[in-house]
Amino acid sequence: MMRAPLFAAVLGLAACAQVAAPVDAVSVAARVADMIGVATTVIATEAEADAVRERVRAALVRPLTAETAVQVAVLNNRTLQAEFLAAAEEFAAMEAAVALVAATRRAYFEAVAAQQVAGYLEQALASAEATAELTRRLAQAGGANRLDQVRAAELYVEVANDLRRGRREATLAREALTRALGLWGADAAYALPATLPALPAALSVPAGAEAEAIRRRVDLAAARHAVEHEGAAAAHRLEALAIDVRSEVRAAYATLQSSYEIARAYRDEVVPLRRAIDDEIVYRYNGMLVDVFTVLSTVRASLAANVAAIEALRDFHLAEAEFRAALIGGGVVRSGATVVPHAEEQAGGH
Amino acid sequence: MDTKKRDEPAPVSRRDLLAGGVLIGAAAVSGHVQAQAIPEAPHMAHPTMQPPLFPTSGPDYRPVVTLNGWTLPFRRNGEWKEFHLVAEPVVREMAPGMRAHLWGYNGQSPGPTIEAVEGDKVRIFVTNKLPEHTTIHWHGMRLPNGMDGVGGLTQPQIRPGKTFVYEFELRRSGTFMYHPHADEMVQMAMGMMGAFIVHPRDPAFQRADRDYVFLLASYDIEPGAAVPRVSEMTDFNLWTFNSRVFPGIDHLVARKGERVRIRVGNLTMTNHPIHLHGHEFAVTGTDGGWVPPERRWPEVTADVPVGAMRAVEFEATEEGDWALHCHKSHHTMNAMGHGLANFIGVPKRDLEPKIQRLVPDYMAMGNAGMADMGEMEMLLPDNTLPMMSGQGQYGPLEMGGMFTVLKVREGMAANDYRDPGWYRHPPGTVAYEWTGGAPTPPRAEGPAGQDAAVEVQVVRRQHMSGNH
Ligand SMILES: [Cu+2]
Repeated sequence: MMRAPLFAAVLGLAACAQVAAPVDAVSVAARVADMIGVATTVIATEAEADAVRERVRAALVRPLTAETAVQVAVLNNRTLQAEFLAAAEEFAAMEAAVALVAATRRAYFEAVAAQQVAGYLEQALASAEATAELTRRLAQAGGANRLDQVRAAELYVEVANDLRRGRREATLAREALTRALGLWGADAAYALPATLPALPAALSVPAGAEAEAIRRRVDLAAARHAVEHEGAAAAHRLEALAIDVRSEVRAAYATLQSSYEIARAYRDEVVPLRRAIDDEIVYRYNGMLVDVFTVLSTVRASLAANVAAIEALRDFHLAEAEFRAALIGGGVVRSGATVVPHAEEQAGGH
Repeated sequence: MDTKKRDEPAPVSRRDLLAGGVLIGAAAVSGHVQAQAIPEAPHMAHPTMQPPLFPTSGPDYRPVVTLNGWTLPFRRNGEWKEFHLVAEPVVREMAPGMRAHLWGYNGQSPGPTIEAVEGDKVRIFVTNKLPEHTTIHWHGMRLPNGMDGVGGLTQPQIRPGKTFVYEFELRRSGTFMYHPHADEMVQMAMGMMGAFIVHPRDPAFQRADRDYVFLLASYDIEPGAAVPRVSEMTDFNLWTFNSRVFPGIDHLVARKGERVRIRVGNLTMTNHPIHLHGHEFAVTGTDGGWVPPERRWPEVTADVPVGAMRAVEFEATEEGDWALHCHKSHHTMNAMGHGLANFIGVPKRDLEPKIQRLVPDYMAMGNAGMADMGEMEMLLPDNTLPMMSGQGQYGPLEMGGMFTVLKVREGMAANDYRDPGWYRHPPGTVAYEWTGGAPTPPRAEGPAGQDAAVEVQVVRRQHMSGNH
């Protein structure tokens, strides 16, 4: 089979003869690239594999952006390559491409957010650690009883477990992204940015989004194609799908809009208010109106609010990915999943 | 401790502008005539102590000086002395940096001191500018029952916007006060009170060279807020002389050798042992009358019960700066937390960088006591005074609340009430550090020592705040 040489290379087996890609696969890849607006190519020879590897490595030099991640995935994801080479008809390749783009975006935002959240959980652990240590010393000096001490010790373990869970989330989310990107070995050590992209200044109302979706959706194109071959039943299926697509666009935009408002409320209100609460508590600590334990527990509450703010921003980016998918295809709504999926749910879904 | 003030523009009220300066006496009062037959209601815009109001006719007397307060000018109308009190919301500066939103009379809380002479007939107009009805009870006075000011019992309430007239003859001299007897809990918790001094008709009787008066009031104002919580019963955080707290309370001054009287009335809900350093005094009067000389005994602390007044007198024979304060140590503090862990003996400095990564402005405090508070400069909640503050010539005083200073000096002018500054101690009369060698005395192992940990964990049953 044509795929054998490549797999042999990947698995470290002896390389076989160089075989050029079939003309069909090249033209499918070209049409896919044109449709999704992201460059791709067919990898059939070692030379082509080397060229793609070079492009991928160049893209991985800097911390990944969402667009770079999509570019790398579309070039390098081998499941998509399989579709190019194996597709009996090009619709399957198209659907695989839009699904990969959407899944990569989701995985990217999940991974960056999970890594950012883990950073906050580390700070929460530092706070719980200081509380436990101060209580231990206080008890040693006779200023705290065993109840306070065991409470502080228990809290520390709980927060440490939160951090362990957070780090696991970050690892799993990153692995989901790594799979979408088709990376392994040293390439899998790519850098992610420390923070999610900022919320845009405004959310534009998409004019003619439904019409655009009707024009561009890959699944609709496939359904139209089926009508030519199958007749009346397929025509009904096409109409049903078109109605669903229009609804999906509206639903995805509603989700995007509310996610935007929620993330903006976190950024512009919750986070500044939590900062003001922290300040006020420090003023009260300065005035000996509260003690250091109140300061530390307040800081932990603020860290939790910051985590919620990151998750809200992540949800906005996920909603935006879903909205884009509603226009072209590859969204999770089609499979009946939740609109905003989490890392585990989409792992291996392409 | 100096507190940086944040975002606190000095409010200038319409009243400040109208009053236009410090009141010097009747001639300088502002206010407007309510009606043809009603005397002016003078208004005070400042919490600074006003000079005494000397009598210009009638029997001579030594006027009182009200700490951070003033005496209400009166109008003579035939055989009557006419006063006009206006019950109204006021903003009282409790000390620089903190303004309380209270109710009071004629611009301040407490209201102005009323002074008259035994046998005088007084007519007191009371105008109610509060949002609810009020009355005034003349605490300790012998008067017609219908002038006693108990709403519902002896008179109808004074509705908002109305003016009532009280008329009575001052049948005995002494130390009295006035306060509402209508929604009394709320109105007294909001600061409505004033002193009422009746001087003896015989100027020689109970003569003093300096005569000070102040009322004790307690408030519960949440740090960062301005209005007292009126339902509080025990846990007050501002213990005041005339609705002022240290370091905002006027100093008392006396020339060496003068006879000084201090009159104190208690409108809080607990007793206050008022203690004077450096002198013995006698309680010479209560709101029940003068104590006959043969019935007096020496004291250095006079416990002032709830709803009572005490006049104490002494010869100011000892030069210096002498503390005058309530002896309940929590009453010489400003707002403070009551649920704080005691970190004495607990090293915290090494954890400071760790906590500062989370809370950049955090500073470790309290591992040796709370005196750090008197020395550090840091941000507090808005409109909140440090728990302890004030600077003397030798360093921080670490006080608040019911604390002030009696300054006795040689050669002060008779009616000079200005602050003479800190006392210049004669050489060799100030406690000094011993710099010679000394044997190390044997000491028991301190409870804060690491070795004592097991023992103290067994014996301690200490309540801690539940916030950690
Ligand atoms: Cu007291």
